[in-house]
Amino acid sequence: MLSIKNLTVSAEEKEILHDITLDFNKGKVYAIMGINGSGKSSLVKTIMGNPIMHVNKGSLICDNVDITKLPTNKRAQKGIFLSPQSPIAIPGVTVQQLLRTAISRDTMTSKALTQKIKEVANQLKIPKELLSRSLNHNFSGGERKKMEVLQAAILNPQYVILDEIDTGVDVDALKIIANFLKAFIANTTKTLILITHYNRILSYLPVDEVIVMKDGTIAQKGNASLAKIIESEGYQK
Amino acid sequence: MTKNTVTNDLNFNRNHDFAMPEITTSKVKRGINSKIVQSISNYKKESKWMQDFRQQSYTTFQKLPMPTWGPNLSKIDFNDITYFLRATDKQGTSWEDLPDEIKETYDRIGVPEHEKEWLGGVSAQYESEVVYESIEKELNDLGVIFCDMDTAVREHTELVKKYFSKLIPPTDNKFAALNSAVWSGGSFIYVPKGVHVKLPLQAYFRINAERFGQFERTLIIADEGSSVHYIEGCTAPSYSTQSLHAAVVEIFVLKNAKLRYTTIQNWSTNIYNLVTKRARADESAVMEWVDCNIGSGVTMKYPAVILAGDGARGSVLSMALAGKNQTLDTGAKMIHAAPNTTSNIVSKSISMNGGISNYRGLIKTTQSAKNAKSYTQCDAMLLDNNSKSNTYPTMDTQEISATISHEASIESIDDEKLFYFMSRGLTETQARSMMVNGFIDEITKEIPLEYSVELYRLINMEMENSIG
Repeated sequence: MLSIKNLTVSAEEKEILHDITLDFNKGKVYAIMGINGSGKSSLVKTIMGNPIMHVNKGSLICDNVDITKLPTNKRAQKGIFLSPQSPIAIPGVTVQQLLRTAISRDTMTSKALTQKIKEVANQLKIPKELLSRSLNHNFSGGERKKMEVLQAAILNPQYVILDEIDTGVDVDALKIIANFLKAFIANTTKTLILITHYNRILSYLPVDEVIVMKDGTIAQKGNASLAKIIESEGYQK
Repeated sequence: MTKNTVTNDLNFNRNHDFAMPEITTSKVKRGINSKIVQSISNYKKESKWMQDFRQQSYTTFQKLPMPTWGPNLSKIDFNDITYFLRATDKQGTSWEDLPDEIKETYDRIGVPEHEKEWLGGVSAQYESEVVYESIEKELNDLGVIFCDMDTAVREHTELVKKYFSKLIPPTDNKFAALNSAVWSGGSFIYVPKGVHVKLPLQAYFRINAERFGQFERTLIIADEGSSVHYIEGCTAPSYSTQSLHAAVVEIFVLKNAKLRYTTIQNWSTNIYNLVTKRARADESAVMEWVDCNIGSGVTMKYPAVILAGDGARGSVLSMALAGKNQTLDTGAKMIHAAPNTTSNIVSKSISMNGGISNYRGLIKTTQSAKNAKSYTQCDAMLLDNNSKSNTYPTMDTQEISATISHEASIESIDDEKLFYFMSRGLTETQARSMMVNGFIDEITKEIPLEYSVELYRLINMEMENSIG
């Protein structure tokens, strides 16, 4: 379980998250919604340990270990994965090079890694030539997002956090990504946490809980139907 | 298999910073004067023309001023350097024939291993002279000459006389004059018309002694329609005293020939590396310099191509990694002296731990350079606030139909990029190394895999030291 306990966070000397408490259980799918600026991305960046987020109060507990002070890479090694809203381009580095450095050889040989990348790319319908190009460099929005999902699939984390994986993605690509994620978590104890503005991606997935954020706090929680209501009625009732 | 896969599969742990006990069979006294220049000639039993050339060059050296631009060279004490040191009297064609100290040095650098695996010929220079050389029998049969410069002066005198010092006369600059006076060793290559040398020819330069000067002289002639790739690697142990490396390299690429000259310079930081490199490319010839600079305390090196024939092409791909106590002043010169000539320069520099890297370039188009095209891309990466990068491009255009473009960028490793890499499980050091390696990928993919692996390892080592 990934637990957030009474978390208060500031960035650039402004408090942006106020006393947040949340539990993300194993084997569950969560959607985090809320208007722009409500603190969704700040929350997941804090979970991942982005140094611009300063935890003033509270703690983050991952599988009974306090990770509040751990550096980002140690959190990744504990099984947390975050796909950022806008994945950056990395000149001169291919996805394979990045993953090869991230995964130890004892976990996966180079041959197995190459094979696995090919398989996942195939399932996500990522054109082969993208694999040998600089990661995200001149990639379309959809290609970037697919590349994030590919990395998640290969790094195989326990907690998969995707920040607007459905933004900038066309309907066909969205369907491919959503179905891939559905199969990826099926029959596992993986926790999937999606930040989204739209119900569409959620309609493909077995959402257990919808969390609505507002002004840096948790405004509302509900089941999958809450996302549908938000989509038809908006956040202002 | 991708390059990176190989990198990680090979577990390199070589370190070139080791010193062997000094071995000497002949050595001149420390310092320089015309007697010392003469005694080098005597040791080499040179004919009169070379003896005269050295003496005249020495006079020129005395007259020429030190460069007043560029890095500070005031700490060079010409009287505190040994200008000639012969480590062994016999040159080997088998590694087993060499003195143990020398054999062990090259074993540790990995030369015999590279020779077996992927080279067409090898030359190894230890201190002042080449101690080992080999060339594939097939190349020998085709008339390819690959030997040390001393041998070439003796055995291929007419060919040498035709080209020697024609591109870089002693009057060119103070260090070219010094080299001309005290030169020793270096490579001589002649590739006959139409011959394509498939595997690279490689020279390894090693300085082992302290307060020493290495002054090799390299001359390469690629005759019409031929092609060859020459690689040089340079290493030395660190000392607290200064040493000097002042080479002269002259390249002639004749009509329709193609030549690539790759350098992996990893001198220790007590070495002043002041090298003059120039090539002439004739009609439709192609000259490519691939110049990687990791080591040395001060480097001043601007590989040049004189595009002398219609349709000649020249390129310089250069990278520099300047760390603590290093000033790498590198660049390129392209002289467009014929119509339809093209030049391409890509320079990538990384500065860290207070290191300074400068790009200094000259693009010149003469009045004969109708439709000349030149493109320069100059990218710098700064890894911290103490480090510096400067760009000094000069354009001298006398021909209006020429197209000359220059692009420059400065990058830094920002927190957002670091966070992205680290969120995939990479340590900060791994993340930085990966970004640096990605930044220079355009260059490293042009050098032989065995060397890009080595370069990758060296950079990672530098990065680890930098974060500590």
